[in-house]
Amino acid sequence: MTIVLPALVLVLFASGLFLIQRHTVVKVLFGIVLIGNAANLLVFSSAGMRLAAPPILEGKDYAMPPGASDPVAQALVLTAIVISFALTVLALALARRLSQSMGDDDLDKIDEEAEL
Amino acid sequence: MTWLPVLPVVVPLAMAVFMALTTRFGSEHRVKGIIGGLLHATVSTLLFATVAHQGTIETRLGSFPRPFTIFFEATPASAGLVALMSWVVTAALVVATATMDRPRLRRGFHSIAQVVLAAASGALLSGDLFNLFVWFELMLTASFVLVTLGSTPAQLASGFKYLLISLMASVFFLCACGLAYGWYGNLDLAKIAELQSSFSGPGPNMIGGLALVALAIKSAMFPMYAWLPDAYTAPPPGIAALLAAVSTKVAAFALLRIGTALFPPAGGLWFDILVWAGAATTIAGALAAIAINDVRRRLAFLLASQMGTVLVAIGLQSASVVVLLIAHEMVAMAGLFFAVAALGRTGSSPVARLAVGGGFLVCALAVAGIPPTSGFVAKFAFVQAGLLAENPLAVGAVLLSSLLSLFALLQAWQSTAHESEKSGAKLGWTVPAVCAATAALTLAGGLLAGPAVSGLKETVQGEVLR
Repeated sequence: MTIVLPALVLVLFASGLFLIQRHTVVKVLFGIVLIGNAANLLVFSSAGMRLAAPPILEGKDYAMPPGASDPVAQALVLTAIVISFALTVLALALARRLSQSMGDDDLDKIDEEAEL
Repeated sequence: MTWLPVLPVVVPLAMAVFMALTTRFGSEHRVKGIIGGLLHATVSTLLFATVAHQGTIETRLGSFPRPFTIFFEATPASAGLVALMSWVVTAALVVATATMDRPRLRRGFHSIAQVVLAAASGALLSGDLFNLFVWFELMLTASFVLVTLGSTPAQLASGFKYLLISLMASVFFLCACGLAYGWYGNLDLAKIAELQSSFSGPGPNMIGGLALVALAIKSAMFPMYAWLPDAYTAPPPGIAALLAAVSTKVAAFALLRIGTALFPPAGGLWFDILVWAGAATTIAGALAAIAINDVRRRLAFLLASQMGTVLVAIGLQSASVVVLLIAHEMVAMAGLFFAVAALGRTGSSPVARLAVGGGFLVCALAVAGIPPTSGFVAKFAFVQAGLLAENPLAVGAVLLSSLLSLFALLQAWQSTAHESEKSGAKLGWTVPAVCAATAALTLAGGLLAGPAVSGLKETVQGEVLR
């Protein structure tokens, strides 16, 4: 597992970077989504990957059970997934509106037209 | 009073929801929007007064222990910036309401503006790295909507570019958060500052480098500022004024806090990069501003140039100067944007014309750092800090860019004088009044600076640079 996750992060980052250099709006967005997921995996792996007990806090002092997995990294990645989901939806809506009003989905051409 | 730091976030969010719920067909929410701004201004001024009196207030939501809670920390510096930002944004709301077309107001400008206000306050007051990230994202999401509000082709194209580059920056910031948690086992900026000496290795450089790239994009550092002129020129000037007072400033303050948390006060490569990149930004921005004819685009480049000065100050590790510069720029640049919003429609009354023109001139002098404006005080403190840090080249770069900015602004002054003669739409009294008030605030910042600056040096140096 210690090799698989970093390798996955690397592959996702690389393919995302490749995609955001394309011209088509949708490909660029797919690239952003891949990179976002790579970052989420990176955050997720920051607490270390191992088999552990569920992190349920008990008692008045919120003591963690021994050998529990780290709940903070999971909470962080949950938040990050929600944020990237919302931003992806916003970006898709914006991309649709953009290519509708320009009649084109090539980012370079859109740039030229917007300057005019 | 531990709930006080939450109010600047909760009040505008509640206001945004209230406006969204009470929307009927054709609602413009003019009054509600401005009342929302005033409410936020009141609450955040109250917070600042309390913090200035009692010292830092920490709030842990739900009273959970520290790593598991949403953590707010109102220091005198952050609370002061929230209060000032709140008044500037309220002024921008007034200008936007007076100058914006009805369809844009009907599409929910005011409730989105409240979200920007809430999220920016959250980002300034947040005490931990991940909450900072979340508030930042929320602020950016709302500002994408503001940039594209109205959906003209230019707005959509520049908004999409802004969105893409901000998403990339956010990914870097998120990676920095993840690595910081993996390295320190903690996201609390104060805690990380305590831990920094007990860890050695590549961690701080990795985290700091990622955070630097992310926040450099968001605070418009050269050469990553290409998004800024488009994003601040395409939407109506009221929206540009609002955004100019918020997003880049919040990014610069975050950069200051992250840098001081990660690295020892002895300095190092991270701070050196900021000094030189900041100096390049301030020169490049001012030169670009001179080369460009469009007044609003010129202001956008000047904004980037001003941010360069802040970045140099962060690199010089002078927290009080950074806060002073951010505060001064927030007001002065907003004043310029307000005056430009009034351009082309300076109507009948000579008093109104005088207020707009005078406001522009005073704020232009402030941006160039000429007494008796707040710009002089900020630049003076900056030069002092730069010479203390024995970095005369960076100081020279900033002073040169001040001269170039003055030249660019006086040129703009001449060209706008012609533009205001071919006026079309009428202008009420509100925008000139706001211009005059902003100019008065800038002047007051220059004239009454003594006690404010000494107070700032005492509190900020201690609070931010733990």
